[in-house]
Formats: sequence, C-alpha cells, structure tokens
Amino acid sequence: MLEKKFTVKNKHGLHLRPATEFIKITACFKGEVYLAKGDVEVNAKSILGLLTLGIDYEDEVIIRCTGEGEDDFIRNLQEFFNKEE
Amino acid sequence: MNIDKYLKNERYLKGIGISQGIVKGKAYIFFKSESIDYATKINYEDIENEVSRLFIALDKAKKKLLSMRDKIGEKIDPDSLKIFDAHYAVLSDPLFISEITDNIKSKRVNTEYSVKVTALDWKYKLSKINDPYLLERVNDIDEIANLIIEELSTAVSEQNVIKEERIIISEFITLSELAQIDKTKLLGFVTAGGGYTSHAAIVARSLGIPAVGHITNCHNEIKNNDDLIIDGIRGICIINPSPKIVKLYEQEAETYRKKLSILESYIEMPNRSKDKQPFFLEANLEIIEELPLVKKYAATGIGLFRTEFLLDYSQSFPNEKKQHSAYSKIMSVCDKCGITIRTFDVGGDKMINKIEEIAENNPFLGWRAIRFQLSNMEYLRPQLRAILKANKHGNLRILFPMVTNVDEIVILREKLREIEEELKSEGTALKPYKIGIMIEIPSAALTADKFVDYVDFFSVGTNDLIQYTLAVDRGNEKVQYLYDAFDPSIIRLLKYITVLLKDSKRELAVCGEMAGKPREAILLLILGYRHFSMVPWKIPVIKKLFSTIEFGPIAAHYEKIKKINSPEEVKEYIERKFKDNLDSIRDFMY
Repeated sequence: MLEKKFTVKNKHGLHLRPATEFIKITACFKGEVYLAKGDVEVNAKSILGLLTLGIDYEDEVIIRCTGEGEDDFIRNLQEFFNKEE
Repeated sequence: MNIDKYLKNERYLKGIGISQGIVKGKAYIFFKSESIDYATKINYEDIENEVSRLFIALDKAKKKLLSMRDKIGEKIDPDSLKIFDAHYAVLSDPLFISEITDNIKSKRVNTEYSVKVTALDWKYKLSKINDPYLLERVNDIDEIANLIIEELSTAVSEQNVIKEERIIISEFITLSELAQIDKTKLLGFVTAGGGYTSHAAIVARSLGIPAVGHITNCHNEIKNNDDLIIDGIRGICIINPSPKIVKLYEQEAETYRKKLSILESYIEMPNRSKDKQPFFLEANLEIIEELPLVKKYAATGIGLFRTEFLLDYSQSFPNEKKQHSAYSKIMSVCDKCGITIRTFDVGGDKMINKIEEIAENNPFLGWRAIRFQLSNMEYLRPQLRAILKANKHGNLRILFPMVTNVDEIVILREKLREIEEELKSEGTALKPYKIGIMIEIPSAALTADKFVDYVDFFSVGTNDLIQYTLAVDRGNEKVQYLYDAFDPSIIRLLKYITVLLKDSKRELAVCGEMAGKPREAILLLILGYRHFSMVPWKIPVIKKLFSTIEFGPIAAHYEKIKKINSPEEVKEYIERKFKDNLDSIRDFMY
C-alpha cells in the first residue's frame, strides 16, 4: 500500500467536472485506491464518494493505493492535482 | 356450498372476480418499472436474478447515455457535454452500485425500489455539502436513477418471458405488456388495481381464463412459484391451498366446464330471432392474439379493433411498416366480413407519454383521440396509410374515435383523400372501404343525422357516452353509483340516435359494454338496435338470448319504459317482461 499527500490546486476544488476527470484516471487503475480528507476516507473510484467530501481549493488529501503499477499511478496523479482549472 | 365452509381454514385473498372460471397453477410475479413506488418483497432465490437485472440495466443505461451524448454533441457547448461524463461516472460508480445490490440483498426488495432508495440516500448526502454548484446538480441523481429504472423496465419485458404455464400476479398490466406475454402459457391473472374494465380483465375474459382484481396487496402476499387457486366466480385467490380444498375445487371446475360446453353449443346457431329476424353480433378485439376468436365464436365480423396495443408506452411511436404488418394480420382474418379498425384512441388515460407529455386538468375532456391526431398528422398519416394498404379485399371499415362535430369528419375525409392520392402515385392499388365514427360524445349523438352525408356507418361507444352524458368518471368509486346504462337520459339519448338515423340507410352498431350484457342488450333491441359488437366470448350468450326473443313486437316496450323515472325500475321491467329469455342464459350472466 502506497500513500501520498497532495494539495488541490484547482481554484474550484474537486467539483463535479474535475471529479469526473479524476474518476477517469482512477478507473484505469487495476488495484484499490482510496482518497482521504481529514478523517474521512472514500473509495477513490466512486464519484459520489468523492463529491461528498466537498474538497476545496488548497485542501490536502491523502491517496492510498495498492495494486499493479501503483508507483506509476501515484506519481502520475501529481499532474492532476497540480492543475489549476 | 362446501367450498365456502372450508375456506375459513385456508389462506386466501379477497378481491373481485373480473373473469370467470377456476384454475390452479403456480404464481409468476410480473415485474415492471411502475413497481418502483413501493418495495416488492423478493425471495432469497430471486436475489441473484435482481442483481443481474441491475447490471444489464446499468450497461444499457450507459450505452443510451453515450448515444445521447453523440446525438446532441454538436449542438451544445463542451462544458455541458461534461455532464454526460459525470452521469456516466455515476452509472459506473462502484460505491453506488454496491449500495444498490446491498439494499436488494439486505432489504429483500426489487431492483427498481433499491435504485430509488439508494439514489435518495445519495441525494441527501450530497445536499449537505456546501457547494452551490453541486447543489444545483443534486437532482441529477434522480435523472440517473430514472435512467436505470427505465432500462430495468425494458430489461424486465425481456425477462417476463413465461416458459411454463403460470398465473400472472401484477399490480397493473398495460396492453403492450399483455401483447408480449405468450397467451398459451397464461393460466390466469391476479391484479392489484385492475377492475372489471381493466385491460387484464378484458383480455382474460376474451381468452376465457379466470382473473381476480382489486387484490391490492397481491405483490406482498404472493411469492413466485406459490401454488394458487384462482376462483373468478367468488373473486378470491387461495395461496398454497390444502388438499381438501383442491379436491372441492376440482369438482367445481368440472361443473363449470359443463356449463361452458353448453355455451359452445350455441356458437353454431344462426343469427335469427325467434320470429326469424336477423341480427348481427361482431367481435371487439384488442390484440392480434385474439384474432382466432372471431372464428371460434362465429362472430359476424370485427365491430371494433382497437389499435392501442401498438403503442408501446416505453418505446417510440410505431412506424408505418410496423403498423402495416399488424393491420395486414387483422385484415387476413376474413375477406368478406366487415373488419373495423379504429384509429388510435390516445390521450386521456392512454396518452402516449413519450410523444407529448402534457399535463391536462381534464384529460377526458381534453386533447385525445381524433383531436390529438388531427393536430399531429405525423401520427395520423402513417396509421391511415398503413390501414389503407392493408385493405386487400375491400372489407375495411375505418372508425374514428371521439368525434365531436361534422367539421372534424370533413377534415378527416380530406386527409384520407390526400393519402389515397399519395398511395396511388406510389403505385398502391386501393380497394373500397367504409368510414365511420364513434358516437361517444353527446354532441355527436344529438346531431347524428348531420354526419350522414360524410360517413358510411356509426358505432355507439356506450361506455364513454354514459360517462360524458352523466358527467361521471366510472373509475371514481365515489361517483360510480351514478354510472348507469338504464338512466332515463341514456335511454332517451340512445333512442334519439335511432330516430335521427332511421331513414339514413347507415349501419348503426353498438360497440360499448352494453352490447354484451343481457339486460342492456334487450334494452337496445327495444330501442331499435340490431348490430352489436362485444368481447367474443359473449357472442354465443347474446345469440342464445336473442334467439328466444320475438323482435316483431319488441319496440312496443319503449312506450312503457320511457315513462319510468328510475334506472332500477327499468331493470326490473326488463327482468320481469323477459324473465324466461333471461333464464335461458342465467348461468352465463356475469
């Protein structure tokens, strides 16, 4: 299980559209992936789960993942979280 | 009666008998999307089936979403298009899906209901997030849930394939759903809503299978594969009956069969009164599968073929080709006898909801039947083209429903002429046909003579005529008591129609339920009617009844009847004067 902290740079937070983009990425990952904000962790392949976290601009989130290619996967997520729009 | 004595030891549900007969068999719960409003309990063995229905529906919903996205892709801005992606993501959401399946398993409920409650739950969770943009989109969850449920209902119709003989348990069955059921596997019906005039009842009676309606909790009380006895005479449904009651019912069923064979002996009798005067008994049909009944019950012809069975409420409007193939089957029943095809009676209770979704305060006084079709030629044109093309032997009669005034029939004739020209230019050979109108609105009844120059025949739809004349919705239990075919106003109106058309040489038929009810049919004879159209199985009953009556002196009874003020007294009068005649068919009066 890998774990990494990210900061959301998108000005609107992880609202509907970025969340949809995010799901497209996590759906391609074969293993398990979770996203936590504060004490709450959700299945990061669930768009509804993500939306209920209400992730805002500059929120810190922790991604945990396990499965084939987990190193590449978690590294590539940086690009997503760095996007400002 | 032995049965009544033993019933108290049985578990049974009481409703009303909507089609006579007795049958024993296994239950089949008919699923449909309308069942979403409440939870239907499912058995442990059905869980797997429900879950697989969910996955099939999810796949279909995703495909539908993608095709919608492609279709409108060019017309809207890319940002709005992203909404489709978000909806697609929800349809693939593992959490959402696992919650739906968990609900099915833990609550033991049908998939539709499970989708609904899961969606509601998420809507609640999302609405608590402080994001105005997201709040705007919270209702999208409903849209997504509906998308799945819609696909569930189509998955359902594929699933509702009955492989073995079964008794169908359903809250409410639409005509198009009935059209999908293999009638040879159908033993009987138990319905929650359906009354005597529901589609399930009409079809059950015409197929000669028993049915019980008004068993409101049938979904919860009866499970798939329960052993049932349907008693259409007492209007009850016995669940997992004891051997004792099974035996008693076997005897009763035998008695019932004997009665039926007597009925069958009437079929070949000639259509002649006791004093050898002719009468005509035609068949009212609703679905293609009923066509063999025309021969079976020796109907003079088809007095009314309703075409609403073609309107699959979840699908699109049937194209000309589909309609033509159906009408060709209808027209192939006989090449000499008259075959009456009525154009779509849509609107009111039968609105094609996908085509024109308009809420009306008074749908029965609203935009329905010919009113709807005249302003939507794109629906009327293919139907008329398909009907005319199916007329291979020149025995077609086109019947237009809900005609209010002469202007409408003038326009309809003009449209027909246009369509004829169109077909001729396409090289279609046209055979002669007749045009008729339903007399079901009081205005048409009061001015029937004004239509004579424009139509070849008239057909009185007594059900609606009574409703409109008395301002009574007979589906409304609170005012139902006012609905009475023997009301003096109805008698006077029905008489007036015959007076107006007396010298017109136009055929005047009755196709409402009155035609197939013994006392009412006698009343119609008294008023001068000789053409009757009814559900096929009633034909031998009415034929037997008429064969015992002398038509010659019958009109004289009107002089007495017109002086009577109450419907009950008219009934008593007919019962008294025609007691022997009615006695001859008493066993079949239901």
